[in-house]
Amino acid sequence: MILKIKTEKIPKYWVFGIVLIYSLLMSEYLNTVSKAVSSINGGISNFTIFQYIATFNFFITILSAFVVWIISSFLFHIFSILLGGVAEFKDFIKYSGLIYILPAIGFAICLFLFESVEIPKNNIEIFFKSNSSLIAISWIINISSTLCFVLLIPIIKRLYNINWLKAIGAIAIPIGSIYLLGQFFANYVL
Amino acid sequence: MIFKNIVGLTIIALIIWLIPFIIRMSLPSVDNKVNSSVSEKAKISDNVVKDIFGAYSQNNRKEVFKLIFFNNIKVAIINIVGGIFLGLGTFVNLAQNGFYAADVFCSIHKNGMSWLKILEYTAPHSFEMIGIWLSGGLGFYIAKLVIGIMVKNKYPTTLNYKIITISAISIGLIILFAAYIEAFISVK
Repeated sequence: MILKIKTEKIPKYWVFGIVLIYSLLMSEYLNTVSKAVSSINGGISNFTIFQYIATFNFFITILSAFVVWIISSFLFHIFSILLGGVAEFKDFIKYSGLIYILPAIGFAICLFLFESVEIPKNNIEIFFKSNSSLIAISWIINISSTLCFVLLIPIIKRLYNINWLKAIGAIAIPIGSIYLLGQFFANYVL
Repeated sequence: MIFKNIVGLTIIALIIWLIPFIIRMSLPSVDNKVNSSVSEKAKISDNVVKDIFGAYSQNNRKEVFKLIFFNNIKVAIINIVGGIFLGLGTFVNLAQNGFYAADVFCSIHKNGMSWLKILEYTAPHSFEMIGIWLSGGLGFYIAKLVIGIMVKNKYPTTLNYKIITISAISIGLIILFAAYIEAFISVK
């Protein structure tokens, strides 16, 4: 009930804005990494088709962040309902959007850290595995994304009025299923 | 009559495929090797073409059939499944497929084959593209259904499932026949 009152107070554009900031930072980070890696191959950043693809990828990453947010929220909502919870999707999606602030901060830090990384021309694989800044970047991304899902558990518990175990299940079952489906596609289809 | 439901969406899929295709075709002189270094997908597409040509040169028609069929069916599956992600997966896959199809044509043209000859070799057995565009249309149809569930709380009916099943089977058959014709009949 308390959460319900609060969701009504959260403006929609706040949620949209946070997801947009997250998607922009993630897109910028991936673009920066991509440019840095392609510069090793002699630099093809001035190449017209590469620029088309890079721009296309930049916008697709922004769109994909929104799609992932909506689809994952919907899956968590469906599983929460299947596990006996009752709540409106439009209320839940506000919370799930707001907590994207964590990975957004994570990507902002990663962008800052990546500035100091200079990729060598040789032994790139060893460099990627041993460079402390890159290890820190991967930790930050993993922790901030995982924390996002962990924070959804108490939100689901209170909003849908279900117990802890069911709330964990509402997050873990869809994530586990997507992981298994992803493995199947990666190994047998793609 | 079942297809009437996805005709409009298939036309949208065709347009999404065609735009990057035209963009790439309008730049035929661009070095293909530089393109291939841009993404892994381009490399994979390049390797598949090489494998098919290799099997052709050894007159291994079964292998050619297998390579063409599995390559096209993968594209169709990704197009259909991409619908679950609100059509974004379908959109990206169609655009990439159009771009890399043109990339292969440009590469062959750069190696000395005239546009007319390329058209002569590919056009008669390119009806698998109908299957690819149809799979794009089906992907968008699924996206439409997913959006319907989310926004209007409108769940799919038996007719929707019928449309999906019949369209998916038709797509599979089109791609199967196209691969058969391409491997055993068209190229001598």
